[in-house]
Amino acid sequence: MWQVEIESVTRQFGATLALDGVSLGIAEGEMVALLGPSGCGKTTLLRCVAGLSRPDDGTIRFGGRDVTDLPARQRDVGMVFQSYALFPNLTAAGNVAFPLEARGWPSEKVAPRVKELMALVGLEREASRFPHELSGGQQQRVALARALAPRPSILLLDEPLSALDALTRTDLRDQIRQIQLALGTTALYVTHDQGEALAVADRIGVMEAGRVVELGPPAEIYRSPRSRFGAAFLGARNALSLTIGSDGWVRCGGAFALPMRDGRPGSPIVATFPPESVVFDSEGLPGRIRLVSFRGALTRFRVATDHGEIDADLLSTAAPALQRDEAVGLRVQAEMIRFYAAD
Amino acid sequence: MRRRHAESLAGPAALRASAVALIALLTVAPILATVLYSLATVWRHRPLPDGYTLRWWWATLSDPDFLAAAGRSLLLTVATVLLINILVLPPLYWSHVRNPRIRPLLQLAALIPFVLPGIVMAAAINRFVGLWPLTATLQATPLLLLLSSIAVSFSAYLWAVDSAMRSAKIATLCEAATTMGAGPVYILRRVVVPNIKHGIAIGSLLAFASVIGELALPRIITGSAFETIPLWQLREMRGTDADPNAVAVSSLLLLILLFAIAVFVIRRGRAGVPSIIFGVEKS
Repeated sequence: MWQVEIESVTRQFGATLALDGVSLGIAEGEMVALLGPSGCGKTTLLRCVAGLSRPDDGTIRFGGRDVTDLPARQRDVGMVFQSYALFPNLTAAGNVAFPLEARGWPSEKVAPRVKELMALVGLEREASRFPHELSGGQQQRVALARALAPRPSILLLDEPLSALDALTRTDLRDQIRQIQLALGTTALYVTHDQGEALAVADRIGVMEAGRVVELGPPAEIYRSPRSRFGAAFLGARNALSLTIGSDGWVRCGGAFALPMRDGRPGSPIVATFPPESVVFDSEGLPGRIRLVSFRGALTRFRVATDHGEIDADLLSTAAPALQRDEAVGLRVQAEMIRFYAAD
Repeated sequence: MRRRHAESLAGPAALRASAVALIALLTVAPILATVLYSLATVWRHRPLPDGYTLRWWWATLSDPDFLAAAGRSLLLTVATVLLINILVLPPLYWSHVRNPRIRPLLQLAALIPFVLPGIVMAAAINRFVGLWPLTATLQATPLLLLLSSIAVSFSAYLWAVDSAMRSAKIATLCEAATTMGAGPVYILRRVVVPNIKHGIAIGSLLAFASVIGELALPRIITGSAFETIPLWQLREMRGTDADPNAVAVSSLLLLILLFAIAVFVIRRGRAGVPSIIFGVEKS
């Protein structure tokens, strides 16, 4: 049984259909990330789960109990907001104590619980500071502690790292995941950052125009995205427009040649593959290097070919010392290629 | 290079200093003149009075008519501010948290006192309540004056509190508190009021200042039946026994009162006041 069950949820704002019959289940202790561009409906869905927005249609269940019409304050959720939403008039400890006091916890239980949570997020020494005296990362850790304080049945995170710098974002992302795993909390995590979603989630739901178009474990949907949108959104994949040959094969110079079981000969098709599936091979598709971009562990080569530009990511330690305008040959690992019908 | 930079700054610095001095002069000169006038025995065609006395202060502070007018003014003003808080704060809170669509209506209503002169509003209110027998009983009553004062002065309160709510991002804070299991009254008490209290204080001060100095409303609605300080001042300035020195004293007393309240409000919320007055939102 799902801990959170979202069934055919629809939400409309005027003429805009924000959620179009979304269905999704989250198992106990699982973290599902909703990934998608701005306006795809992911935050609306999160707000519906939190009880801050009411679906026009559909059902939301927590542990089998219908909570669709239950007010937000009775839903037993913990929520982390993009803008932290810490109460400026309360200290960090006061913020963490707030949900406990609001739920009527006895004061002798509040203090040790606050101490425990402040230790969990590594902010024991900042307990008496006010939000404006904390850094962005510290504020978001207080917000996380506050959301977890009453041991909610579901933790909701609305783009929790968007307002932070890159280094803090990575640290906090890992910390959120560690805490979620340690506590076994069921969580729904909304983000527009694919790297973040891939790193924290047990499963990822890719959303487009109010619908979940892709749902599965990160590695699975990264390697085998079902939709072209999912493929484009998940990993900055290369996308080449090709044609099915008269023999039923799709060929891309010397880069790859694969048979197509479905699809008529002569019809257009789009082949996508991630940059790390491209290797240099003098026998492969000829091209000329347009850009060499060092990215730490990886080096990206952008190569212009007769079929369009192709990005290749190679381990920096193993990357050849190639320069701009040098001629190269490319080959793509066939098992990483996915085909989609052309528009 | 550095000298040239310093020279380039010297011009604007001198200009700034001159502007500040001019503003200070324009602000201080009338107050200084009123102080001198309230202490003058006789002030003829000279820069300073002929002599000084505390007679006018003593006479004004022991005048039963003035004391009664001051009591009425304070009663009217305090009641107005209290009722504005009770009547305006809840719908404004609602407009931020639940129904943003009513906010433009509130803001539109708050623009009316800026557009219509007080005397026009007073006359309109008087005529309006006279249209029906039931409301006609309100005519010339302190209650109608109180209601009119609320209508005229709530706008200053609304702008200040609205700005404070925006600055504190009240809507998000309330949503956060709701997900934590807090009820509306608990949220109002623990989240909303503590985070906009400076806005409430500034708004109340502005409403207080506009009501206590209001002349047109009490003059047209109640007349001498409910004499406030501005009406008393008007009476003191008229007739053969006009006493402008007493008017100067009463004006200074009002100024001292407002100044004391303003200092109290600003000292209590030093950090919050600029953002509320200038509508600056926290980043």
